[in-house]
Amino acid sequence: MLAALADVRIVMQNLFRLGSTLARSAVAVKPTLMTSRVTQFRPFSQGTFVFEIESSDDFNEKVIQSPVPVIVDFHADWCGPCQALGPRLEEKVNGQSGSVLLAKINVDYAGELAMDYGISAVPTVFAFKNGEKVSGFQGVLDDEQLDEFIENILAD
Amino acid sequence: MFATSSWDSDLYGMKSLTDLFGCFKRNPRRGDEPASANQSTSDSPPMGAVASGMPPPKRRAPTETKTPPGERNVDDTGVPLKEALKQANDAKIAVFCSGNDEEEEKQISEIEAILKTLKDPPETEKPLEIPEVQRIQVNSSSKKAIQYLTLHDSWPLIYIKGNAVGGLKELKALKQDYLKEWLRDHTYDLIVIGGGSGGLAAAREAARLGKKVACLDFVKPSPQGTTWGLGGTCVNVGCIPKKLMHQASLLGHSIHDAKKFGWKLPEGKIEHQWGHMRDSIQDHIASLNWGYRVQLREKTVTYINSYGEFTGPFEISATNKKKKVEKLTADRFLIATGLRPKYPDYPGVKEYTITSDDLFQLPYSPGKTLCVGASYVSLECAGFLHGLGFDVTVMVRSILLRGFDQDMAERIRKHMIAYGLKFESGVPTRIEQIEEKTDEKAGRYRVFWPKKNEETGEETEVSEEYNTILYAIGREAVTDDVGLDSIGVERAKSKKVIGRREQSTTIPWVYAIGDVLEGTPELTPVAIQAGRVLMRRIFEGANELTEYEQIPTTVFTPLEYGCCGLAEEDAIKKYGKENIIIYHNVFNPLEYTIPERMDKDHCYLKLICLRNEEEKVVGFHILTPNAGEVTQGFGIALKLAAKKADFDRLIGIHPTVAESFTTLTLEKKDGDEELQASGC
Repeated sequence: MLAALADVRIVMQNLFRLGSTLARSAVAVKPTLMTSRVTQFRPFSQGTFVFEIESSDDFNEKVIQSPVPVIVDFHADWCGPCQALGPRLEEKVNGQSGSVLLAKINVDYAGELAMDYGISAVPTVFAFKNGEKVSGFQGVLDDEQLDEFIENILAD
Repeated sequence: MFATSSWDSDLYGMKSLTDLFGCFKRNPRRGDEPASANQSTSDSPPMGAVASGMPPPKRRAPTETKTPPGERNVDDTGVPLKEALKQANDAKIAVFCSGNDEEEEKQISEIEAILKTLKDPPETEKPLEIPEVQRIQVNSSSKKAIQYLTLHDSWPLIYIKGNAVGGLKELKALKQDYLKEWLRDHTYDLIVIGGGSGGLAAAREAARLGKKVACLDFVKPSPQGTTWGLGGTCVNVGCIPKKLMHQASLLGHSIHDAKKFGWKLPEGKIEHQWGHMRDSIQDHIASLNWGYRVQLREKTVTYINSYGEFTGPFEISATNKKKKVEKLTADRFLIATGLRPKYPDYPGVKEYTITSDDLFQLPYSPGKTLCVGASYVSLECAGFLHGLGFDVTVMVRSILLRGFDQDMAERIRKHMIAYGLKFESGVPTRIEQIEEKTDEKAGRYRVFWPKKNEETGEETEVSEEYNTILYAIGREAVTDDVGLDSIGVERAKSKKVIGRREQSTTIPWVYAIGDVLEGTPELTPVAIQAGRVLMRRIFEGANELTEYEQIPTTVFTPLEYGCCGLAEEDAIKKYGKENIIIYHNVFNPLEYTIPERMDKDHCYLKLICLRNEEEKVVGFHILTPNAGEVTQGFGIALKLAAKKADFDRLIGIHPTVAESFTTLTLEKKDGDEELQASGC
């Protein structure tokens, strides 16, 4: 479905790299008639600690090479539980003032990446520290469990 | 391919799981289990369990012993059938023979001589190894079975790398360099072109059998620019969104019914939101696309999002969306590219009209719609659009639902007219754009067609304005760009692949299944079954065929039409009018009585039976709500050769519509008056 959007998406990715999540709503153009849905982005909660990843290169740069731990959220627009988990996860990460970051990966736009990491269900969340996967979970956690998950990442 | 997919059930299962936890992978399907129930076991009768056109398998009575000793040794020489097929499957080159014939021996020698000519000259660096011909001697009943399985009359019968080639004549017809190339090693055991229902099922089954498989899928955009993800027509632009929109339409009526059943609804107009429905459906489809992708990975099928084209007899060039070309080789190929909607040929048609490829993703509410065509795609789309509240006209050239029972088709037409749909007889000749469409709003178009004056016979051009024009005049195989001609795969006039069973008649390492195989029903579950069965046959030597008869199916018109077996006219043609007896009746679904639905006068069913064969049922037809659910269950009765008496001894479930089949007494006769449903 993304064929016609490839160019636009590259432009958008570059915009995302600027770090402004506000840029997303600004570039919600509709390049072709039939693919309008693809561009309907749900703006993430504000803050620069949450960013989107769409390619392996991007992943390598922003997750593997990251000096601080990164939580990776593999999610999809069509997945109800993802909508239940995502915003809470974003809020909690933003509450950590940068000691941990959150990478959002939409499996429909980054299928290869999802396949590489063996994602068979969404949401799947991994924590990366010094380029290595240290923990993770599938499905929805409640607030307490999420706090514990983040605490454990920051603990050692 | 618009039939209801057999995927639905497990997907709904998944949905309930997601509510609790997350969007996880689906439950394993029947075919995914390690051992298949369909595989013939060592004690199955010689012709396997599910041979097409064969009488249904008879289970051996428990008291019956094996073949009486006196008969057992008759013609009991040679390798047992199952073992023989397995051997032919595993051998590089094998020949089935009877082993008692001079002529046969002569032919085998000639086969060996042909193979010797393939030898490379001595100085060749990596000379091609010419394998020994493995002789597999079988008895006469196995010979019959193998000839039936492969549809080859030739004997001795040659197999190369597990593919039936035919006899000496067919071997000679193959190009020498093709033969040589065939005997070389290739990267994949199988390349599947097309990731639709059939292609995916086949790819997964082949991978389950331990084969190295690649599956190519690439959707060329429709003229309107619509594309979609992995899964093919059914999932993206066919059965799945169609059935969901049909459901949306039915719900509208249920809201109306609800009042009569005592529900107090808010005052004011209850409106349908097209965009909301479309997004919900597209989200569901995206989840299915993802599910297929995960399944392929789990089964270790290599998924390649590229357009495949033959550039050699065993080579595919796969072009991705960035125009990067990758060359792949395989021992076998499966064409499963399906069909795409046809367009007529007049100016503006591709700019101004849409097809079912576009409808389910339509960014704007369609508004006043013209559905052109009498196909079930046209009628189904017209039906749900009208149910959603749009002003819909169906324009047809001649009869509705060609190929279906015409008595039932006429009843569908009557119901749709009573339901509020308009029918026009004619063919559009030109379209003028009055207002261009945008993402938010449908355009305005004037459609012109010649209309015949019933009395004078004079034709005058008439016109009408519509917001959306949906063409559904048929679907065609888009096989021109697959390079089939370049390697010599025979195609029919329809551009579909001509098969001996599912194997190309001309290139024995190329197979086709699903909508793109000439002469088989265009239905998702047929493609899935054909894909799985074919893979077991060519990779395991299974003695198994897809049965292309007595396939239950349903047209999801506002009042659904389910059928299985023969149409009335086909039964008459096949058996003669005097040998047919038809039982029929009208009925009034209980749920329709209180809301006084207009549909109640249109529900109808009939059984077509053979008068001289104990009234064996050969045709099953029903026009009813939930016809799909009813027809699926009764389909097994036809498979098991049920007779009218079997329907009679079956106890009904009260109160249902399906119970009407257990109480049929009325015989349908020419000149009868239209039946009227009575009260209680």
